[in-house]
Amino acid sequence: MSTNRINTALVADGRQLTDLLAGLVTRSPLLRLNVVAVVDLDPGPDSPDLGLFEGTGIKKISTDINDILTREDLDLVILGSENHDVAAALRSGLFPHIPVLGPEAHKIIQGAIRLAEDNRALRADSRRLKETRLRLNIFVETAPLSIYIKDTELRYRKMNNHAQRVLGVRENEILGKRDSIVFPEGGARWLQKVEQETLNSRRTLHASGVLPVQGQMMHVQVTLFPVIENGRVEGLYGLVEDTTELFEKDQKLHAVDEQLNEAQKYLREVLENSRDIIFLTDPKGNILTFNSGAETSLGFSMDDVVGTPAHQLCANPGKFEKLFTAALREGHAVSYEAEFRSKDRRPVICNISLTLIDGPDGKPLEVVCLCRDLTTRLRLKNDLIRSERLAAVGQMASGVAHEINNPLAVIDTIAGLVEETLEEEGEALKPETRKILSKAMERLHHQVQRVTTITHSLLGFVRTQHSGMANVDIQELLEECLDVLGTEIRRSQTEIVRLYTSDIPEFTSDPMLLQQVFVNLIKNAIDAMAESPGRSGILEIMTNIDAKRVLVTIQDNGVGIAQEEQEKIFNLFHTTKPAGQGTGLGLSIVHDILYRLGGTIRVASEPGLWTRFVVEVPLTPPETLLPDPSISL
Amino acid sequence: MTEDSSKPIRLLIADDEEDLVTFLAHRLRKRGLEVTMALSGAEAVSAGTEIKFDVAIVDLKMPDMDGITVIEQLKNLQPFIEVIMLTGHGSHDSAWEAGRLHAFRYILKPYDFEELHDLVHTAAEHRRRRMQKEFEDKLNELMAGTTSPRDLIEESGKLRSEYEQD
Repeated sequence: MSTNRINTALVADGRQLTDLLAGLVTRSPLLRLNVVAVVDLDPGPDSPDLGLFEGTGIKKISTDINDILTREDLDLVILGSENHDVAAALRSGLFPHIPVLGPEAHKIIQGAIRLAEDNRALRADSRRLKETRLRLNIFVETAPLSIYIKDTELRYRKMNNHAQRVLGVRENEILGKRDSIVFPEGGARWLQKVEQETLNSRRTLHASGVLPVQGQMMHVQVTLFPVIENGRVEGLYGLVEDTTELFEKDQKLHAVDEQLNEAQKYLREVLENSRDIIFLTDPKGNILTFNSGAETSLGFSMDDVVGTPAHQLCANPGKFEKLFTAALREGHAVSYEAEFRSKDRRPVICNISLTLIDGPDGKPLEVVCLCRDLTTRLRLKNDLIRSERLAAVGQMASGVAHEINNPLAVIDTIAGLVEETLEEEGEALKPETRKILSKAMERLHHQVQRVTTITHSLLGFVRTQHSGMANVDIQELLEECLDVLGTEIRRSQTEIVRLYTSDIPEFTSDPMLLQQVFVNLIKNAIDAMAESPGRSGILEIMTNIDAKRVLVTIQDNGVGIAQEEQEKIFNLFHTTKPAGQGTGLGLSIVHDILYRLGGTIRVASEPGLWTRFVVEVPLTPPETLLPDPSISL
Repeated sequence: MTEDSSKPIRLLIADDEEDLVTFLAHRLRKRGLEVTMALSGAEAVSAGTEIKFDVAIVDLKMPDMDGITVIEQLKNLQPFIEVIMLTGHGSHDSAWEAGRLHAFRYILKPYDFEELHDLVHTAAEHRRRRMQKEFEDKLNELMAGTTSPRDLIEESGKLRSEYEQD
């Protein structure tokens, strides 16, 4: 037994002693009591059983008060009995230095024990709490998170290590201060707003934003929760996570994504806007997509063809299928001249390149069909050939015309003289002779006129020379043409139907040449309608505009042009008119003029019913006019 | 307008095609015109130094001189002369273009005789009006600039004789 324990003696009557012992002895180590002697003043059936006290150090229960009176090591006597004699004896001064506690003592001690027990439990709780706090503190101070506490005035009450390090401040510098100390430049106002809201709403709030931290912009994510004690908001906790890196990563990812998107978009646009015919098919040859180049060249819209077999677009489907099979086998196949059929059954000559694209699983996924429309190139080539031929012919024609015009002028002048003389002084001749000579002179004059028509149109041909660019108002120009042909229109009683599109802007072209084009076309139309008797001539003139060109359609209800003639009408010296009435130059000239102005002309006709010419003139002329076929003499 | 003129129209025809000049001149003389013939550019210019013309019909191309030079020289000699350019082809060379600008009118061979005849009269009338207008302009100028009545009478007399002589 340790010496700092209080050696105690217990004195009581049987039953009381049992209670006392039970209360004290079992807790004596706690009470720092060392029970060294027990005296039962009145042993009975309720007296304590020593077995109960095994291990407590109590060896025996004496019944003799004298036993304790002889002990010299006693520090305390607890008298649990109402036995006044004993109490008086003990208190009489036998052991004046030993405190004697009265019989109530055990109740006091019981209470003390309960208190002690409660205290012990409290201590345990408090220890756990302390531990938790410690752990929390360790966490708070070591976490890679900025944590702070603010009061309701948004003054700092606490700031963890991480936050101090990040912000470059010491906790003691900012305690009791507001954000103006931490963020002197401002920039945390959004955070203060959310903090205020947290206080007001008493709810946990999340926010993200940018804070200026040590000269750098830091992207953060903040969680704020209110501190509520006894129903009152005392302040708030702030958890700040630096998400800059995450943000930057996100940004980078976003940028990469954007680049990828951009590249994809670019590719799509290239494909979509390419003037080449580009379409995709599945491995069976069914069309998946169809670009605008294809739509333009072939006249079909994407909706028309998606899901249909590509070979249906071809003039020779078998040939395409063969090519397709080769592409599936070899991965690539090329044909230098394949013919598609446009929606209006026009042949479109292309070179085709088919490329197989495998899917991620290595199986054929789709086939890219890239086709270049050669029709225009072939036509341009033909145009150039025609143009060159026109140049040669033009050169010759104007030379010939010149040589013929001079003698013609002489012949005509002399014929006129003879005619005049016959009229004025012909009385000397026999009437028949005079008559036949007059007739002869008249015919001579007529024949000269015929040749003149031809030589002058040959010269007109040479005059297709570019005369000068100017602003053209197409409607005004067409009206001028109708004026020029006023006599012919009136004589043929042709009805003119004007279908002008209003607001066609002026555009730059050669008005003189364009006039020649339309005069020629309208004149032809009038002639064609004259050849179909019994029907009054109706000439429709329609104007249109699209993004790049002005379109003029001239349609007559004349005799029409046979299919096989349609391809030849632009050829030099080709004429459908009776001998002596056409030179076969008009449409050649028209074609040639339009070629050089960067325009085109197309013909469509239903023999016996109508003929339609569609002239296209670009809104902006070619930078350099195409070769002039006529050469200066 | 064409027939009322008291004085006959003085016309120069210049073309290297002799048949043309001969017969055209003959027919126009029959219509009362005073015609001088020239078979080359040089002849035309030398005629211009000797005789006053109202109108000249000039071929665009003559072997010795191109029509544009002839027109220029004639206009130098006689500022009021009106030139009708005659051409065998609607060629587009610079001479033709320039000729178009200098000439009163150009016509293609073979021409319509009546049209040509009318055109000569129109040109002559045009010349007369131009002269009259210029005379009046100069007279107005004179009246505005001259204070002494004697000077005015003297100067205007000179002016009148200058234009009437033409």
